[in-house]
Amino acid sequence: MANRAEPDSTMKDRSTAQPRGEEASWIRASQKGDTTAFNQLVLKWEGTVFNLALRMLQDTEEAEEVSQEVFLSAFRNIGRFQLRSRFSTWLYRIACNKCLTRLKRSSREKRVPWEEGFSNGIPGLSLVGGQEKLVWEQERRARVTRAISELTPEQRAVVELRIYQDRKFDEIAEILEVPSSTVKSRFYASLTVLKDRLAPLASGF
Amino acid sequence: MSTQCPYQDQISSLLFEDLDSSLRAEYEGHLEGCLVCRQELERCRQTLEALQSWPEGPVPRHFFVSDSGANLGLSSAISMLSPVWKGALAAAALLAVTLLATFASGLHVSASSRGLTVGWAPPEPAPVFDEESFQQQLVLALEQRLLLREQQLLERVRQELSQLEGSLDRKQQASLKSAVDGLQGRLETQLDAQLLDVESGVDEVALAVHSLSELQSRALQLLNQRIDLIAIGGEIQGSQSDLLINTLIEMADLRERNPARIEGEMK
Repeated sequence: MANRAEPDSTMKDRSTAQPRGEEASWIRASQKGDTTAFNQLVLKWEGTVFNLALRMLQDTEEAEEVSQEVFLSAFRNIGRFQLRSRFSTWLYRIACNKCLTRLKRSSREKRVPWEEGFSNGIPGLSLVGGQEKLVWEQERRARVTRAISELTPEQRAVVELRIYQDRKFDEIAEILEVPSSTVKSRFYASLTVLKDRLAPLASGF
Repeated sequence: MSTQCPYQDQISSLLFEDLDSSLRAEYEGHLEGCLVCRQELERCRQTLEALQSWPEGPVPRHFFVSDSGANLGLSSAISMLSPVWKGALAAAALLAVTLLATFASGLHVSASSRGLTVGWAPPEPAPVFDEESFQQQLVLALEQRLLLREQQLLERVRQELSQLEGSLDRKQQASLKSAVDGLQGRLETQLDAQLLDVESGVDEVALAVHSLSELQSRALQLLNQRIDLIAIGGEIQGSQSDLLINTLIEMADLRERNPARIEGEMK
């Protein structure tokens, strides 16, 4: 039996401790205003930030906009980042705050049906494996997207950080600045919704 | 799903939490003899598997920061203010928006060979109100006060510490230094979190201003359309025009104060 959720094998290797080596040197240089050094950090983390935004917002264009905002904000505030903390925690906090703001704004404006958010196709899907497999993958992805769209913005953030970013509950509490008990409560409430929508997938539908 | 086993609600923690060894052993022991919990755990696994079937896709473009784009802008400067000052700034910004809206909403009435035309005022010299300059001056003043307060606080702490150091031995001084370093670290982390909060708050304020502006714009647009319809629909004669104009002015006034209610009444 697995002891805990295994991280997605396709995910990048993420640092879980305070910045060291080249990342620390990029951060120090960025704190002196070196945009070239900062762009090294962008290269390392842009995939994580973009995919986090994409899953939370379910809109490719918005995810792009938010990703750019996140890195601009990070650069402007990097002088305040303490090297004894984890860079990822700090970056996740900025990204989640930006996404939550967007989601709250969307809820006040006209909501775009989730399918329309992917007018150019669902990112990550290709024609490899034949048409039948593609249809199956699309259906599966659609169900996942639809299930996530039923969560509240705060629940989405917790699911994103726990499932996709493989963060522990205590770290999620630090990122979202809420008590750990609140994080767990949001996560298990989300799990109830997600189980109802997704559990039948593994055995076909 | 109704709970059929007291362990059922907690069994998913085997997948998602770092349980201590005794609790893990207890749950795993229970699983061996409980079909309900095994099924529940399997559902959680399936859910996790489905969620993780969404792999990370490539980025559509790079999100590099350029020297020109990274300059500290007004919004960034605002984000560095404390929530109290931010609130004051937001109130000032809302006042500015209201003033601008008031300037822009005057009715205009003109007579021509086709009759009386009622509409919005034609373009006139805009009222002299440099919003950006106003905000910049306000931010500058607030920042200066904030910095002054921080400097005074730091100075007081330094004085207190220098007095203490004289009466302590080397070991105590080292302990004190370590404690102060730790405190400073925590304060910096706290400040960092607060600043991010403030930035998020500024976004919220911007949203509120945006929503207010849109609401006013929609209400005024609707009223404008109705006025145009009346004006286009026919000529207005004599005393009718005074009555109509007064009514329209009253409507405009009411709409600005409570647009949603008036819109509902008109429907």
